[in-house]
Amino acid sequence: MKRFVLITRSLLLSYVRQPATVFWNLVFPLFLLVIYRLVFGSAIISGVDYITWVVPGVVALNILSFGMIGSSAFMTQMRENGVLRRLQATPAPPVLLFAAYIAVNVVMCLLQTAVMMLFALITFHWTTTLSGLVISLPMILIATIASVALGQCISSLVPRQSVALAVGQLLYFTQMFTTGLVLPFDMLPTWLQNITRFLPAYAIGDLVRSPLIAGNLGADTVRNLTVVALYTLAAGFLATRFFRWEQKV
Amino acid sequence: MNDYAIEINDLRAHYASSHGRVDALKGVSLAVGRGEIFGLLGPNGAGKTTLLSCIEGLHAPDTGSVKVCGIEVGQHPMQTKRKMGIQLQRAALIEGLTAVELIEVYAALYDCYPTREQIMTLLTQFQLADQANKRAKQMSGGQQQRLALTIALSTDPEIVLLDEPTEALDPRARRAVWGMIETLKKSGRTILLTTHSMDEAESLCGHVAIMDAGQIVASDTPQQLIAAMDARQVLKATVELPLDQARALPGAGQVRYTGEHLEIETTQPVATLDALNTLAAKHGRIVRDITIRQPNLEDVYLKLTGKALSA
Repeated sequence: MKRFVLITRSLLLSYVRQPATVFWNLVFPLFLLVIYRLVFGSAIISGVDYITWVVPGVVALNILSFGMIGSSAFMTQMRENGVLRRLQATPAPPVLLFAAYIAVNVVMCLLQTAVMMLFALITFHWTTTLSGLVISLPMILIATIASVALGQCISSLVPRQSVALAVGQLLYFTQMFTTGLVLPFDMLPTWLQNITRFLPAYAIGDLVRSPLIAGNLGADTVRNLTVVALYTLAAGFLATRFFRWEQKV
Repeated sequence: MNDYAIEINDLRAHYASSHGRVDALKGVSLAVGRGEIFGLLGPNGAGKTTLLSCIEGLHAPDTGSVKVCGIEVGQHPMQTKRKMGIQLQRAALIEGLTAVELIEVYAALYDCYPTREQIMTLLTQFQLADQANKRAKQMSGGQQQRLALTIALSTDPEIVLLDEPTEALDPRARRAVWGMIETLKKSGRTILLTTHSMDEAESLCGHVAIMDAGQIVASDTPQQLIAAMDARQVLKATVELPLDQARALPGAGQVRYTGEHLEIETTQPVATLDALNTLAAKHGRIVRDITIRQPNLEDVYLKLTGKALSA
């Protein structure tokens, strides 16, 4: 346990000491929220004001950003720098290293979610119910695991950190505008809705949004959990199958 | 107790590169005695790092066996990893962590938990005490190399594997690291290091194996390897002359240019020098910067492989 704690703490310190990580994961989402609020003002969406509607979406977006961009780039960077190979040379079981890595990702996602919610509460008087907050927590954890699996899939398949960033950003920004996270889903053409409702961001957004707005799980919870589970299993399989401790020569 | 810290028997290994399959090791056998400094000397691409990777359990060989303290690496990788402290060719440090934090986490990976005092003692030994709270990315290349060496020793290993430990270090930093390696030997540890520096191999190693193209071409003490050169001395001078004519000088053996310097192995240095002056005068040239030295490992490598070690 002592070893696990030390490794997790070291990875966490290494993560938060990167200024880019702090900016993109903790500061930029708040900036986005302010912009959305300024643009959409007091619009009403699905019967609630825009801020109430968009905060869960930005929480989900943040989780996706962390996993698909931040986490994938971090792992790829460690491979490029030879750190993974150095870790492979130690007698620490790989499962211990990966468990510590997952723990760091969970802590970071929970931290940024808390910062986001506190900011929305203080700045825009965003509120939710206590039951909604409690129910959303396991959904946020599920979203984190799915997002990290997707990110590690990217990391295992690409050759370099720059490519990991590009692929992660492409997937992130595509889903940002097409899965109802920050723009109402109904605004999209029907043909696009029929495609993007099967993307992980749509399912994750719905899983997080329903409890935070309505205080309970939504009608499509089973469907959304199935979609997320399938993506997580497929991404996790590919991430494991193609994982490399060192750069290809 | 087994006499050898490391035993390798007919090891063959390959890896896949963007250019196709590379047979990096083609039947390597060697034995490293306990408590000695053993050097693997050879140019880039000789197979030194691949050999080290097989010992470290990072690369699975195709055939052959690798034993560390009598334990087969392939069958008990975790057990053998515990016995070794390693420094890879690159420092490969987690950049955001300080020197103290790096030692703590890497030691923890070996289930070792040195106290703060023990860590500071180690850092002081390697002249890094003032860098204790500095992050790895803020350190110079030489400091990072020394920190990587410090980390390799933080678990008090029996065997230390160093891959090009003084690569890209300035002469002062290099000598500092040599001093640290000699101190390690005095503490009874077994050290296996790779190098393409003849100076490093001659200065540090009690035993040297010369590698070329995936094979060991010679293995002995540096003194014995050089003695096998048949007591040829090396005449070195700055003069521009046709190589075929230089090869015809009396007593001349291997002749080559190293940069602008002509190097001639000879059993009759005085006669060779006289003839060289005569030849140079015939071509209207003057022979400058004349030195006559004893043969070294570079000459041994050239004789065995036909190539210069520093090429």
